[in-house]
Amino acid sequence: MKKNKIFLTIIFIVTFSISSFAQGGGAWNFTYNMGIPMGDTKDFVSKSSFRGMMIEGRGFVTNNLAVGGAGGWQVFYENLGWVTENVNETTTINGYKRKYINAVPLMATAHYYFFPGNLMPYIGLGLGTYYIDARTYMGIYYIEDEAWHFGLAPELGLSIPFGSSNAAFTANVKYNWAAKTKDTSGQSWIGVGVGFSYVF
Amino acid sequence: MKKLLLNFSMVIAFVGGILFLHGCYPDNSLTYDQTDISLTGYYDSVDFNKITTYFMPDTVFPLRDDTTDKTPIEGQDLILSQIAKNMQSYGYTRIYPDDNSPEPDVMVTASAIMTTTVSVGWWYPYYPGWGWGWYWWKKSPEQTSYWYPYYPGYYPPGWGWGGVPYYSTYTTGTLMLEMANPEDYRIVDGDTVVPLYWAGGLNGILSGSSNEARVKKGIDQLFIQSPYLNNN
Repeated sequence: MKKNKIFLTIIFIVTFSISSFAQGGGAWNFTYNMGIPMGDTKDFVSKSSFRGMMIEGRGFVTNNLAVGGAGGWQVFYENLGWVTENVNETTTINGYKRKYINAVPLMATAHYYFFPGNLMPYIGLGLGTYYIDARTYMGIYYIEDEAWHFGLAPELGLSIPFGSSNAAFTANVKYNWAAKTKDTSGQSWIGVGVGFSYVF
Repeated sequence: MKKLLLNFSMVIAFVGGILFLHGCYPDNSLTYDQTDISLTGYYDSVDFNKITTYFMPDTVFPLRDDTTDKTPIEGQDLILSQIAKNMQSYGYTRIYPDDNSPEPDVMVTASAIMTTTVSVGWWYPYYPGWGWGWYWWKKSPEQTSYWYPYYPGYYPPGWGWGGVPYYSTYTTGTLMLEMANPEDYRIVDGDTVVPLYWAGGLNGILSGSSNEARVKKGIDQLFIQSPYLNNN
């Protein structure tokens, strides 16, 4: 029931934001993303991710407030090399071990721009879901944890338009928080994105 | 309209970006030897210090769909001699049926699946036997001939083998070593079976050239990660 409410809210926000594009203009953001693992994510893969990207669409509903949607992809990877470990008290395994997290955030977003104009700092919040696939490989075998997580992503960002053109430089820092599910642990990481915006 | 087209092209650019990133995805292709896995386990109610002698057949049992095909598997002698080397260094004496030595404490056998899709699941708990059971040699009471009971091996309760889920679609080769004492048999659900005291499995993607070195290293690894077998 609660999940349904969240889902309906997301649908509402996305639909609302798409329809609002027609009214007061908006922006498309394209960023390259890095990820610094935190918490359980750090326990699983300790290395930072340099493989990620995100696209966001935002439509202004007032001069300062934009709503929209965001989707992306972040890959965490760590190679642990040859390891010997106990599966249980009497079973031991040796193999070439690697770990992966593939995370796909899909979010409805709201952003508040403090000074729409030449230098546009903003704060924002994403609400939605993270599809996360965490795998531990031994040789060619892997154990997989795969789930859709409820997620939140508070964000600080900055857009700097290039002169009078439609393009802008954009950078942001996000805290990605994916709630734990019944079968899988929660995940969290700090995302740093740099890229450009197309403002219309 | 122009705006719409531009927006549309942005989306295309993004999809292109995803494909580009996909090319940068961490390389999951491994060298052949990096696909090798060694898995060992033992029956925790066995005291390996009381075991001093063993018998090992001079064959690596091939597990093939065509059971009439008795061609020895490639590298059979190498596999057997590497097992014998490791058993010796852990303090076990090999017994041959044609000498006057006492009967062995345990039997060690090797078997191999030449190629199989991994979905067969050698890593699966209680894999129901390897098809050939336990050939055993023992002198008859009259001391004139040998007889060979034929019991399938099984993993007794409390044996920690398996329980690890896996997914893969590669074609691999598996070598399985098993140690048991066929005189220590049980009746389970009406079947006579022998509990495996120790088992070790090697699994990896077969390559054209480097298999020998990998098999040697792999057999060594099975013993290295089973220090409880060492009687020295």
